[in-house]
Amino acid sequence: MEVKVLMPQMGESVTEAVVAKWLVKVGDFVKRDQPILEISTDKVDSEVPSPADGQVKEILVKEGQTVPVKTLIAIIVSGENASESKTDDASKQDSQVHSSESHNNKQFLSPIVKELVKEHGLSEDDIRQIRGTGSGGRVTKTDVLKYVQSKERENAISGGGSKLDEPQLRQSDTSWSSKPFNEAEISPQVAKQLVDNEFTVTPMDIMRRTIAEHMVRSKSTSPHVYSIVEVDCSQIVRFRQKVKDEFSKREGYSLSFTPFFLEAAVKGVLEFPILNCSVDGSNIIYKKHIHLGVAVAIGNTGLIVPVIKRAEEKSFLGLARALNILAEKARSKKLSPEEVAGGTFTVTNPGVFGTLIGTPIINQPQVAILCLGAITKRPAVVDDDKIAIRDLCYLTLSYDHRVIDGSVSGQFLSFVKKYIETWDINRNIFV
Amino acid sequence: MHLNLEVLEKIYSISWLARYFDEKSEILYKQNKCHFQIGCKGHEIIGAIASQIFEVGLDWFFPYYREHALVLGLGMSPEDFARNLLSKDSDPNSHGRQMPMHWGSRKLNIISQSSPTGSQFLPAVGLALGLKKEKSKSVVYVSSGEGACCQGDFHEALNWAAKDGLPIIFVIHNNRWAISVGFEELWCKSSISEISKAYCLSKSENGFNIESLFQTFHEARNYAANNQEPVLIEIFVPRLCSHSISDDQTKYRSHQEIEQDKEKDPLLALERVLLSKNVNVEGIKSKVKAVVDGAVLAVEQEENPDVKEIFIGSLTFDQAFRADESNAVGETVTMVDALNQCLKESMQADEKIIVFGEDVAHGKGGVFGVTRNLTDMFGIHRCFNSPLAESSIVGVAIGLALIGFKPVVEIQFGDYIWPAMNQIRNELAVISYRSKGDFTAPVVIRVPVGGYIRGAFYHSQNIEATFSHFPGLITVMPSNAGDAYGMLYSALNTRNPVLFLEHKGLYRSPYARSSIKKVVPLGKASVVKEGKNVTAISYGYTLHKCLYCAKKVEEEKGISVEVIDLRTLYPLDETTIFESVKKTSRVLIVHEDNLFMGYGAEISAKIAENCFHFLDAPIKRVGGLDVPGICQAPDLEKAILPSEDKIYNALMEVINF
Repeated sequence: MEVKVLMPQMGESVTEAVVAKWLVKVGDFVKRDQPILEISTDKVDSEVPSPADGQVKEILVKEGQTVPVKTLIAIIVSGENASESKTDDASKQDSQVHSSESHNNKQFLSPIVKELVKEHGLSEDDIRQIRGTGSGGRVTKTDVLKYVQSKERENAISGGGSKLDEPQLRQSDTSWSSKPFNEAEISPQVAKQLVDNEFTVTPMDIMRRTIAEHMVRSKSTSPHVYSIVEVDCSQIVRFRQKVKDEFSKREGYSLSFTPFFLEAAVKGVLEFPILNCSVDGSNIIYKKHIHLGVAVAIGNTGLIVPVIKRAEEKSFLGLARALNILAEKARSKKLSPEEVAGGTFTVTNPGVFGTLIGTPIINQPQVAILCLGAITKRPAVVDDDKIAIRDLCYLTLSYDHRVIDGSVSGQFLSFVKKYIETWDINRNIFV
Repeated sequence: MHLNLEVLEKIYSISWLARYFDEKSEILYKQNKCHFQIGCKGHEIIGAIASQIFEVGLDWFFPYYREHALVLGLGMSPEDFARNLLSKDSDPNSHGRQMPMHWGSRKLNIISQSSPTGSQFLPAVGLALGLKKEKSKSVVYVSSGEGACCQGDFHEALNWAAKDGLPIIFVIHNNRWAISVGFEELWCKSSISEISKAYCLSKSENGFNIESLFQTFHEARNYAANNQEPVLIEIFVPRLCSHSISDDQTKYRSHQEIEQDKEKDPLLALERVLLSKNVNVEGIKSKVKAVVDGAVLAVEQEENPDVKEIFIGSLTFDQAFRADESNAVGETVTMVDALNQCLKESMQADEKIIVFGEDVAHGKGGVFGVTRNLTDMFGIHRCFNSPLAESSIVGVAIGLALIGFKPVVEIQFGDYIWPAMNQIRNELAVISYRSKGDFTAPVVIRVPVGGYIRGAFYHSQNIEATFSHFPGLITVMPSNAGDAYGMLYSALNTRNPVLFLEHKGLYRSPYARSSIKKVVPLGKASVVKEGKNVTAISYGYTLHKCLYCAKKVEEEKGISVEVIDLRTLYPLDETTIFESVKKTSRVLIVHEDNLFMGYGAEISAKIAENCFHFLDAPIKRVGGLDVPGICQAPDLEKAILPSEDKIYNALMEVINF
């Protein structure tokens, strides 16, 4: 029996996804639930498990290709059919050849599209790179013309050379078509420099594009204001030193400073609920629960913000565990759409990369984001006007001045500062 | 004319010329040089005598297929006759296009004849009507066998000829066999004249009585010409052969009867007269036989028809196709007023235009008022009521058009055009082509058509697909008043016959109101709305629905729709269609008529054949449901005919593919 593998819908608003990587190839035997491919959407990256035991008969979407959700991306033959072909290598090979042919045939090209393909000398690869907007993802005349247009533009830029990875560039172009950034226009100056080999052009991946879009939207939505405090972290440094071994032993991962700030932030938000709202026209929507987003870097190419749901209900240990699980999932691209949705307040920690002071952009539709700078040893004036070496860090609150004023942000930061600086060195976090 | 010896010899000579050609055609048939043969043996005397009575160059002839002797007697040369048998291009009858013995000669006023029995009567009446209108001294001779008198057209023709007092002589060759069916099996009376006497002066004659037959013809022609009345002459003759080369009369006639018939051969009677006067009949016969053999020999090597000339005589792309389209000027008017105005102005300018049909005259001016006031303005001789018989309307119009009139006839509803189908299909659409352009019948048939008016089965039909299938006929269907005026003008100024379809739902519709265009060329579609993403093709009533949907799609979805009004359905303006499709790559075709074998099928096929490489989506058609009729109940009518919803959805389907 043939089992269809369809592009999953990773969240209700998600309409398309990229096949990031195939983990299997045609002819491979797969177990039910075994990951067979990695996909990437603007919200999450994820592995797709096989829907059945069987043999991969056809792979219909290439790596790097964006397709609408529910698109047929692979066919797995389960049951007797699969075992039959297993016993017969020759027929297996035949079926592979056949399947690759039928794959080509499946991509229906209308007469005018074929004509345009011929006229513009497009390759099969080209065609695969074009994102179809017709029925069932069919490539339409308009799609081809857009593609050709972008190709021509690009040829003009590269002086007609083929140094650029054309299909990829075009793919990004076409798949942007419905987004505000769709005009990947390159300025004449840039074009000239490109010709002079002064730089190369790399298309953004879907995550990059999404981040870019969100950042611009946030800046144009919220008037950002930044307040900064310096926090003496000596207490939590000492506390962490004291409990970290036992923590590692008990929890199986090491204790970072982030949970301390998460807890402090949650308490602070509870104190100043305006930080946990969103703006809807002229209304302020207060959120019941604190769903705490924590930005996690994905290598050097992007970041994702998994959400700790109902953070106000979690203990220190609960926050630490949630953080660990989500960060791990984020890095291994296993986050579910629900796990990145619904944040009400975000904490970001560029300090881990050495940043002293950050001024982050608010994660819409939230109204504030707390930024943790690096904890560094610095001289500080302490009690009795003495100068001492302390573990210091800067906390920044970026907030939306539409709804939050300097007084609230100052009070919130002071609250957090006090919370960290007065950490009880004898606290039992394992209770 | 007096039947003296010279005339008798001539009659004898013509008769034998016909008979020898008859025999020769059988030989040529068996030699594969002639492709059909139908005999005249036994009938020769009729045509031979008639040809001596009627006046060549003055009178008009509609002779049926056993009239070899008539055409020879009127002056068709033995060579031309031989050309007819051998289907030569130089054959004046049909230039090799029809079977032999389908007569026609421009020079001899012999109107090109067809095969459907009886279909010659009404055009003959029409021609006689024209002669009467012109106060001519000419008469019309129309002949047939007695079998063809079973046709309704025969009775319609007698009625019209009698009611209008027309100079026409019906010549019925009664050999008592309609192919294989005997007279008694077909008729309620013992002769045709017994039946026809209710209509007009009628007389039966026997081919054996040479003198009497001669006298009767003589009197009949004078009577018809002088009294302006029709006459019917029935002549009993034996059929001394099978019906045609494809028939064997021994299968249905007794040997005894066949043998007895030989005794009744009129040529025997004539021969006895001549012999009694010491005429060398054998000498005449051998001389005539040599003429026949010599004629065939002389023309056998002549050119056969050239395939390159295969379209000559079909549609003529005259000035009506080449004219520039006028700008719309003046106040907006309804379509019915535009048509009425065009008729008035055209009749003013051209006195050959005559209008007739059912209820078109006097104060009524047609059931939709298109011909209103024409009788008042131009007199009853130019706008008159026809009998309630559609075959008569078209058949008579053909006859009038053959001698230079421009008949604009009205069929009251498209639903009732079908009795005229034979006249349209077999005569009107064909006569020019079958005579290689020697005869033309530029009739305009105006027909109210279409539904959306609760007209039910018989006041709603769409007929364009059927009639556009006949390549000798122009079919048009304007969608607005301006086009209606300009296209009727062009229809009146082409030498081709035109079927002019008028949608009843548009006659007084505000959508169809527009300013007058004095001239709209035939064969030119109109891009009524330019667009670039998808082409919608329609005509008539549904064009307006298409326009509505196109604008809706444009407003709602920002998709640009090009809308084409075909206007002329045959010949089709392929250029405009192809140009649009090549631009948009997506097509929707909409018509009111039901879909299967509907007009859209042809457009779809043309596009598929010619624009395949430009298509980005399957060609989509919207038409009426394939049910036998359009029901009256509003909900049923709505479900059957294309609605705006259906068109809109189809348009979106094409766009979304």
